[in-house]
Amino acid sequence: VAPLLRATLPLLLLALAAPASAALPERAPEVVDYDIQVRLDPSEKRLLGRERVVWRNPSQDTVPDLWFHLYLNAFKSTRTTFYRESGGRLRRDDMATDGWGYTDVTSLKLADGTDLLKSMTYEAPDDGNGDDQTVARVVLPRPVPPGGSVTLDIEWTAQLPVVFARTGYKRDFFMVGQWFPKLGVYEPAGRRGRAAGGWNCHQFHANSEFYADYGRFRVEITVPSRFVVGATGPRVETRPGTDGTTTYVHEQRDVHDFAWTADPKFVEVKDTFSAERDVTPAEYAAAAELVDRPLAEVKLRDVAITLLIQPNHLPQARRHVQAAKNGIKWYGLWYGAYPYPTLTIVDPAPGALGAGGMEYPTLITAGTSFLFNRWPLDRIRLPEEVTIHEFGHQFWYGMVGTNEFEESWLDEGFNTYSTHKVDAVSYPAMMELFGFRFFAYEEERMGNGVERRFDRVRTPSWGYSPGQYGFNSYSRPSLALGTLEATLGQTTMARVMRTYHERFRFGHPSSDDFYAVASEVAGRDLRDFFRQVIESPGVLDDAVTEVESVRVRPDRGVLEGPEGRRTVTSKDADQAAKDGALYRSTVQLRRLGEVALPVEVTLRFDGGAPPEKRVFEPGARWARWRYERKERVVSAEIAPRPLDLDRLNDARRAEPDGRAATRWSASLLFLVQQAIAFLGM
Amino acid sequence: MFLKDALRGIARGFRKRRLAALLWLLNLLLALPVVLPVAAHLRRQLAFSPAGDALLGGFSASLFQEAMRAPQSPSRAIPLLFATMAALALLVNALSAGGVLAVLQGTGEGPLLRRFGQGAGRFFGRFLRAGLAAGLVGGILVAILGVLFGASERFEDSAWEPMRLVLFLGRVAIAGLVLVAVLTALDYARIALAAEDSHGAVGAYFRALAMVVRHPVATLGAWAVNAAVVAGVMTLYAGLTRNWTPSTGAAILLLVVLQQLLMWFRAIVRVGLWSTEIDVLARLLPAPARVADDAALETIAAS
Repeated sequence: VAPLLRATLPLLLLALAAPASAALPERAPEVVDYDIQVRLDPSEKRLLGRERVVWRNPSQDTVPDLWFHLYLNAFKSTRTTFYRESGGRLRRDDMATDGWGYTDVTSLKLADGTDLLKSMTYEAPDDGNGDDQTVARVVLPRPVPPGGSVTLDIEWTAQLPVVFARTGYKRDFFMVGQWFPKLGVYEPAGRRGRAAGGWNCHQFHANSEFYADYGRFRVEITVPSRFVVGATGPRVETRPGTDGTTTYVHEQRDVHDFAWTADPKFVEVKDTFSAERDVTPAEYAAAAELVDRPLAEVKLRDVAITLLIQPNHLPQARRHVQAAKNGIKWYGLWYGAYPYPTLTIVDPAPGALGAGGMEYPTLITAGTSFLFNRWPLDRIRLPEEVTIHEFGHQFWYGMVGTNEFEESWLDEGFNTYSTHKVDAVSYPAMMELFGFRFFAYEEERMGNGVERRFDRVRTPSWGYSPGQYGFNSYSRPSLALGTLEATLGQTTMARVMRTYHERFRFGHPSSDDFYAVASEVAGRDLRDFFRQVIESPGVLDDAVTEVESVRVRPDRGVLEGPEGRRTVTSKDADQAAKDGALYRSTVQLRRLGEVALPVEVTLRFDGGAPPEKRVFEPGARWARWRYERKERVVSAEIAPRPLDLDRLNDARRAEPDGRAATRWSASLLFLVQQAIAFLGM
Repeated sequence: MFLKDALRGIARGFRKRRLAALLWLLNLLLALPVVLPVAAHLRRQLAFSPAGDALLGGFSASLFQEAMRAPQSPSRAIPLLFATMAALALLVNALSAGGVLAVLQGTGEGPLLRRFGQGAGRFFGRFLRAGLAAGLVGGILVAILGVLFGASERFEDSAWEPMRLVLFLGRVAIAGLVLVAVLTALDYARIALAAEDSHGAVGAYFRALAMVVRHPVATLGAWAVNAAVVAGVMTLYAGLTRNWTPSTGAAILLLVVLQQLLMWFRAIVRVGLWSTEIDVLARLLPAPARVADDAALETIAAS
């Protein structure tokens, strides 16, 4: 044994020491560096900031200008595009009266001191709104050559809004997101289907999130010392000041945004996700087999988790941390290890839920209520759902840096689909209350109706018809991916998602990139599937409209044949029908929606006959299948697909069974009777 | 005192089971027009659908919604049906109250149905007017509460997280108390009208309301005991159905029978409340009314 051990030990050690997820890129291309110093004035709710930005031209173009986002200007007045589109109401939250927010750039210079502030202009590339100041452009005195770089020094002040649309303050709670002048993305020709290179820098819309390039952030945050602070990336330094303030320095590379939070009331809960303890060898093995990767490639990394929770939510601390661990584990096993050393979860202050449910690199905001502390409402797993979902954005938005302005489904839809898969392996249901159970996917199904037939999923986030952004960014893509999974099978789908993530980690893919990966991994052309469910409006609703079996009555009358004339009376025919017992069965299918995908239909027969499978071809709007055989068709069932908006018409049986209808009609009657009794009867 | 009154009333309610059965039947007849179209639609949707059988294992919000949004669904008509039913229920309430009081107070002659019918017809107009007065008072109080609740909204933005819930519960409690007071006063007004056979319905309502305000424990206490009894029984039912998912035909039939027995029980408790309120009114009102009520009570005791 000893020689064998000597021979294999180095290999074993090498395998254990090998970097996790060898197939995954270790580093993002460093397009931008931000070195920021910011000071919080908690009484004025204001930030005083200074940043040095280095931008490296990733294209073969000579770039004459720089485009910036000044997101906080979305909250400057009622004239902004954001306000006009939202009416001051977003995500069930109202903008506070006169709680405006804005950014003033006070100095803008090249590193050599050349002043650029006078050349700064506000742009409105999406709607031409001259009052919108969420995008700024600066013409450079010297264009940036291909592969070259430019360094800018910017000084600015930011007035934070009362918490609204993810950012702002509430009393002493500060959620500081979209807070600094931030470069847009220069897309070279060929990326995301671009014919020519150019800046992609959209205005801040009511229904849009963000898009930025990868790089390194080093941020020094100075706050009064009573504040507890959390931020993107690990803390590398803490410097007490002489004026009652403390400066916290955070650094993180391979990210495209930076956010931070401060609140004196935060309780800091620390834990660690252990790649050894929190994942069993069997789970590693199963994941490796599922995604068809070597064991070493699915190995995860330890993550330091910090939960900044409000004191009266402390009983839920474990739930938040465990949910984060579930996310790190399953997203990591399925798509690739979470590469950052830290994860910070922020629990917004009371009344600041507008800041909840949001993702930033390595920092997410959850959102809960003291009501969920104890029985019975602790069975509502909203904190878990939100934590897992926002963590999941580290993968779909964070590491796979999709353009949320233009293709929001690539982050929200992918992440909703992934969240539900993590939910399903982690919790029995998202709500278990007095015998009533509610599963996460049900909300999407309930939103899927005929009124959803007007928009296509792949639409700029401000281009949906009213009220359709949420469904078409979150629910429909999630249902579509579930339908793709039902079509390809769980294993192939897992490999599609894994390959897509690996290939575009730290990249900026488009929908077309995903279509290509899916077709490649599935080994079949899936473009028609995506054309119908993502690129076109319309709903999927295939229905079995008829299942009928009647006994065949032989021909009657004076019948001529090769054996001569023969008279068959009705009585003879009935007897023959009884003896022979042949049945003529009819199955009818119809496409009630616009989406026409091939689908397998299972036909079941009585008398123990084996079921038969047939395909309802996509070219047909309807089909009628007839059988004449000894067995009757008892049911016809279309293979389940989450996107189909009516499960009840996906299958039909020949004989009715009224039990379910009677059971719930009786309960409805009971409810109505209670209401009448309440009226004094 | 009010506990004894209430329990004695419920005991009387049990002795008037047939009267309660009549109330249950009226309730059922009012509910059926709303439920039958839905039931027929559910049958169309679920009977031929194997997917619908999942509802036998427990309620599924998404599946139920899919059933209700299918073509030919009556879901759009349900609000109208419900509103019609509520309006009808208020009218039938004015009718049935007369019938119940006629039976309980021993006016009229003959079999139960005849006495019930006589009472219903005799008092309907007066009871309806009293009901309208109650509606008017209720409307005014709702408007006042709306202003008060609106003013309390500025306390919602508080660093103390439970504040929003406390305010909500406070509003529900206040609105509930006001509603119960308005409806309880309507009961007392009707009892007084029937006992005195008087015609001043609106005046009777305001006198009854004043009495309820002066004696909230005696009047609303009896209501609270009855409400607690009903809530207790419904909690037991909820506990049972939480752990029991009837899926066979026999089990579903058993569930239907149980539900209707519970509705009958609610009717018994309602008759009991009327009976209690007759007692309370007899104790709280001046002599002329008491004479009438004592006579009524003697009749009840003899029956």
